Amino acid sequence: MKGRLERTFTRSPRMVGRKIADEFILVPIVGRGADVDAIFTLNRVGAFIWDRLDGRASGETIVAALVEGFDVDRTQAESDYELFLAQLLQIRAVAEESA
Amino acid sequence: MPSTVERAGPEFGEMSGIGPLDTPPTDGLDALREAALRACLAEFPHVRLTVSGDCMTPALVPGQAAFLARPGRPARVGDIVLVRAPAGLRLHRLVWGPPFTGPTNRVRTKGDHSLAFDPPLHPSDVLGVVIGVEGGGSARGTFWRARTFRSLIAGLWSASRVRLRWLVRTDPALRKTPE
Repeated sequence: MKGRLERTFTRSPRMVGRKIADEFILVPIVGRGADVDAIFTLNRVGAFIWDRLDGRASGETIVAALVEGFDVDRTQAESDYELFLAQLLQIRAVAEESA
Repeated sequence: MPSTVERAGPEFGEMSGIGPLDTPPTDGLDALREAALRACLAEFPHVRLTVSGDCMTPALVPGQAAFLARPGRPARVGDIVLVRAPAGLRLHRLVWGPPFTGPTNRVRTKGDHSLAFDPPLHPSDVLGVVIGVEGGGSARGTFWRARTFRSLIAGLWSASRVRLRWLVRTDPALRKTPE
């Protein structure tokens, strides 16, 4: 079984990300509308990861980009990525890309 | 440089549920709520939010989902509107608006169960109009004309009482003189 870092995830079509007033927010979509009861805000690193969850980049690739783009060591970046991904999975904002 | 990946930190819980709408304004968060609402209303045909507070019962009951849209035309008297009031975002009924606003161009809103009008607002403070409610009821609620009229009369009565009290306090001729 693949570890989470080898797997690829893709953003759910029922969640859109927008940059509003210097904040990055995730808005759930219900039908054709937006559900403003459950808006999530992401910090800069969260938005960085969210942008890369395109169904092509693996966890390894995203962690490498984190290490390159931020002042963080690999162990910390891996742990943060996994934690953030677990939170996104919990709110069903991402789904695993089937191979 | 951040060394941890956080999910919005403590404000996460406050943002989940962009209300309650009667939350007093807080630095940054209220502005973000409003900006997010405006952006969603501009981008999507409608937005869904859960009603909090009972000032609009029975038209809107706490916990009920309301569907709002950006006003495509000026909101009309009787519409339930989402407004940016000084005390925060409010889902109240428009009881006074165009074409009766006059040169001041101010609209008045009021909760059906509130005693007084909300402070006067500019039409641009009307962010959205309720176009439907969960369960398929009328967007304006049943007997909305009667409720709007009653609300207007109650607001005027409340305002005239406040004005009368102020007059009595400030006008010596109206004050009772001790015998």
